[in-house]
Amino acid sequence: MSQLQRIRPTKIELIRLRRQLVLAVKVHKVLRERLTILVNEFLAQLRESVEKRRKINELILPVYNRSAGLLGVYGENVFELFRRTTPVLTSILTTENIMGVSTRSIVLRTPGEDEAVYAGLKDFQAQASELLKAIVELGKAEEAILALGREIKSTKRRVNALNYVIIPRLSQQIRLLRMKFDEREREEKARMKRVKSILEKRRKLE
Amino acid sequence: MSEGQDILTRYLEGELRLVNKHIPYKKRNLCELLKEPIPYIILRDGSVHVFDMEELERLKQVLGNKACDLSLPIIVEYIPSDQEGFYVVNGALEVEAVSKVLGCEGEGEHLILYRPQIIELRRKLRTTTTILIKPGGR
Repeated sequence: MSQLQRIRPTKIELIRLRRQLVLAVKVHKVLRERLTILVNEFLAQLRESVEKRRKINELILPVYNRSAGLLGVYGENVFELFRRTTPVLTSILTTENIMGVSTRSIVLRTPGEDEAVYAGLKDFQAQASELLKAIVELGKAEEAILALGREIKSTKRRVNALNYVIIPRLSQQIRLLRMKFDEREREEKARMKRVKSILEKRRKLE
Repeated sequence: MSEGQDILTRYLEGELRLVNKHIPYKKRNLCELLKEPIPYIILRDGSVHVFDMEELERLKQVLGNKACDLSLPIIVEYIPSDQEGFYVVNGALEVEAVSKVLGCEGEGEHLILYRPQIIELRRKLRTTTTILIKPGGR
């Protein structure tokens, strides 16, 4: 109520409040749509991360088994040599923007073709790099989920503030001002009637 | 005008300004982007947005000979004064690319998309599309 009492009951103030209400409704609509888009993006990323996690679970065991098998066949020295001489995947840390939410991303650069000397190592290399790519993709999706979650939380607070505090308060202030103007108008009418009747009485007396 | 009201107006106007901070300053050509080792654009908030190479390849494949005329990112407009959950893609080439990716019919300069289609589009072209909110209307 204290908020309402502070407003000057003038037409200018009413116009200003009405403009503010229009702006607040527009911002509310925009933010609500942004929230919907962000939630959709969040759900898409969540689905993707579940999918990637499943893929990693499927890939990790064959890669591990193959690596154990190759280690058993060639021995530790050859395996170490293979590890050192294989061109590695290079990663570049970048950013991706999803509806104003900046998330970290990685671009993987695959090395050129490598001549495999030992049988079975080439397949293992392909499998291992596929696993690494899936892990990186999962990391990207989970990073995006966290960033989107934070943004959704703050946007939701702003949408709720507009919906439950700012817009109702402005509407109430406008209603109060209208009531005051109506009351003033009624008072004015009553006063005019009173003046008219007094004048008529005076005229009759004369 | 009271100080509190002034702050509120400034806050609301600021919200409208910030809602499109993810829009790029300048669109870039698809062929130009494909030649780069890391295709990226600079956004209005100063951040860097990197395109997914697979998405670029997909767009090139979908558009064929016309691919080099396409500028990225494809902007999907949302106008709050219009119907809710109603989006528009402008430009003949953009319409063709989006309709082919979504597998829907699309001709002419404008393509109207609804929320489920937008979800599908963002799933398929996450980095090469962006949503522009136009609070001022058409």
